[in-house]
Amino acid sequence: MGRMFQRAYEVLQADKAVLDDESKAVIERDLEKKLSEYFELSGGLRLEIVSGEEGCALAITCKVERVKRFRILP
Amino acid sequence: MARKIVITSGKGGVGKSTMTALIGIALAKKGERVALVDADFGLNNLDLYLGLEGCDGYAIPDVLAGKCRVRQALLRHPKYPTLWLLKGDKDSFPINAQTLKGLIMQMEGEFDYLLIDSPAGVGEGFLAAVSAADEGVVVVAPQLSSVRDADKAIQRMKGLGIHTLSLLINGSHGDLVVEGEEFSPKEIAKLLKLPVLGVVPHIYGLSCEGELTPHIAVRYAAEILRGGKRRVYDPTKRYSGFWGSIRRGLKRSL
Repeated sequence: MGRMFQRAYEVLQADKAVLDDESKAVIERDLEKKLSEYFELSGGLRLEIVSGEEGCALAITCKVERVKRFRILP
Repeated sequence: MARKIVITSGKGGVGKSTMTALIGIALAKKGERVALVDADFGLNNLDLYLGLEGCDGYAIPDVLAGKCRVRQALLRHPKYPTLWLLKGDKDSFPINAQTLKGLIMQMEGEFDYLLIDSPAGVGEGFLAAVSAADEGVVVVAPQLSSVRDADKAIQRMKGLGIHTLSLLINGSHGDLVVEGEEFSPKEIAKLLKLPVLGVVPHIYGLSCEGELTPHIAVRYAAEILRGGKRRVYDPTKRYSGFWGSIRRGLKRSL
């Protein structure tokens, strides 16, 4: 696949990137808050939308110190 | 029960109506009962491509206004007896998805194929045409603007629940594809993540008789639609290899 294909691929991907930086930050804050109920987070959380052959995938990355103790009610 | 297929593109001027007419003719030649529905209100040209522009008769707005029944508005092609046309209107006509869907449903028992020619864009007319169909054929020219618009149309169609989609690439220049100056069908399929129904070379225009004859590429596409042998025309074939390079050289020098 040549240069033309690469350009078209990038244009199509950019058209599909509907998540702007502000919205992304809001989701990251929300996820961080939720995850901190179960884990002791040691670093910032990163959200990434990865486009591939089969569509998009959501990748959430964050550093965790330990899993918090929590109970599940039967 | 008829298969309801919308022919769309996103971008205008890539050959939706031409391809609708040609696929319709190719299917009718195989004995299939086909109705072409011109849902491109205001810019309707299907009658022209079929050589039926002089035939007076009812159109979709007349059916909706209750002036006639759908059956009375269907125009039979004089050359292909199993091919029918339901005309649009020369004036812009507001139609919603539910209305067009209802109209199409009245016809589905009498045909094998209902080909709906959608207007360009992704507006109301497009939504109405897509909502009335179960399958879609996306006509795309090998240019970035066309691929980009097709991508948007595909996303909308998927959003409306149409997942049986294929690409009909129109206007492919075999020589430019070989030289890497134009998208190859394979590249377009990869970008749009859809299978290729057919590749039509850049040769078409209205013939002197004011009527089109399906190129072998379209006949192959129609055969795939019918569930027959899967063959896709390769426009690069005559421009590949030793003789192909001579042909390319000659074409460049013209």
